[in-house]
Amino acid sequence: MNNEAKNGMACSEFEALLADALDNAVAADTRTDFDEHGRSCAVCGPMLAEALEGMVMVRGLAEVEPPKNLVHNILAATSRKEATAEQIAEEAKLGWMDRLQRSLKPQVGGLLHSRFAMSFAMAFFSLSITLTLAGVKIADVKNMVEHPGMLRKNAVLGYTHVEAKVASYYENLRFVYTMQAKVRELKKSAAPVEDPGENRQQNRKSAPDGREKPNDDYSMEHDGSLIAQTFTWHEGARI
Amino acid sequence: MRLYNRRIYNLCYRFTNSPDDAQDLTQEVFIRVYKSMSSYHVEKGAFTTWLTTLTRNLLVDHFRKSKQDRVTDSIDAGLREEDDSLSLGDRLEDPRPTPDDRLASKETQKMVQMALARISPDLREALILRDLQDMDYKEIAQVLRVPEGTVKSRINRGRMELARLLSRNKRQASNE
Repeated sequence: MNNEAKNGMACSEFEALLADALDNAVAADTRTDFDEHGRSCAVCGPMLAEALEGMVMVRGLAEVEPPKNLVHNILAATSRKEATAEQIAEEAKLGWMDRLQRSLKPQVGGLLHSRFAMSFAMAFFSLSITLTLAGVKIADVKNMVEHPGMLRKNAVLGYTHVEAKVASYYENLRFVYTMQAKVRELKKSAAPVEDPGENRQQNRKSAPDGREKPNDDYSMEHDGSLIAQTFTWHEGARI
Repeated sequence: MRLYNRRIYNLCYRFTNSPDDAQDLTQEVFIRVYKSMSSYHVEKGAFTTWLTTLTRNLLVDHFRKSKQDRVTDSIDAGLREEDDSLSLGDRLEDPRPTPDDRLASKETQKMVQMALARISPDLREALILRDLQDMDYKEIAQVLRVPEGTVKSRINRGRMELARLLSRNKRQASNE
């Protein structure tokens, strides 16, 4: 499109006036120039014709009849929205317990009745006390759940801890036995040598019925020296 | 609602070219109107303009969502093809049936609707608002948020493109 003026009007001016001209909204003197330009210009003439045809075609389209249920559907949809808004306002007034009961299914919601709730509370209380007494900390369980890798690590640590305790116990026991043996050797070396036959005879004599008294000693050296002897429970063991 | 549902339905139908989409969108428009009615103030403009703006925004959203990217014929390509078209003077003397006669048939209505659905959305919405919704340029500029000059330009281009599409379809039909 060139901007050369033809019949007192440039093509750009013609194009700018096109919409108004099709609406018959152009002043009379301008309209004359417009029409003249449209008749003489090889570009603007067809443009006007196409625009006119397009306008007539679109304006000729009949109004479409909306579906019969459209109004009903709109009313139903907006009523639902209204009902929802009212429901929200009503729920805002309810306590948290009521909201919880409503949010749960009716079957599950029934469990929140006082008698069931009391049973659950008791069960929870018992369980928590048992766990506390057993030394289980909720934080540990939580950590284990959150970090499954910790489960194996904790088990290994627990085992190592128990193993160390047992080893320590037996080490101490061995030390005690060693010390006992040393003391026994020292006693043995310090005590005077006695005739074992005499000792045995003395024991026999002490028996009232003439029989040999059963020996309560549970440990005796080959030479008859006493290592340890049982006494009544309140006297304890004597070495 | 009873006053405007026909208008909104037609606007949606002409833009989407689908009765189902038009129905859904009309419902959506009224639900939105219901929810945002408090945001409308008389001093901001006419209710019809506000309602049309709301509808247009919804249509644009729908268009983007459905990726309804239609094959839009270029005006330049059309101009090259239409170099041999008749001048206005010749057209007035054209012995062929007038557009009014052609529009009498249901088939023509269908063709125009199909052609309308094929032009670019920017041109289509301006054309619908002007020629079907009978809004003035100022109102259309307000709805589309573009200057009045742009509105006029889009309307002109839309009309020309529609005429070219129809002419092409007609030629194809006569060749077959």
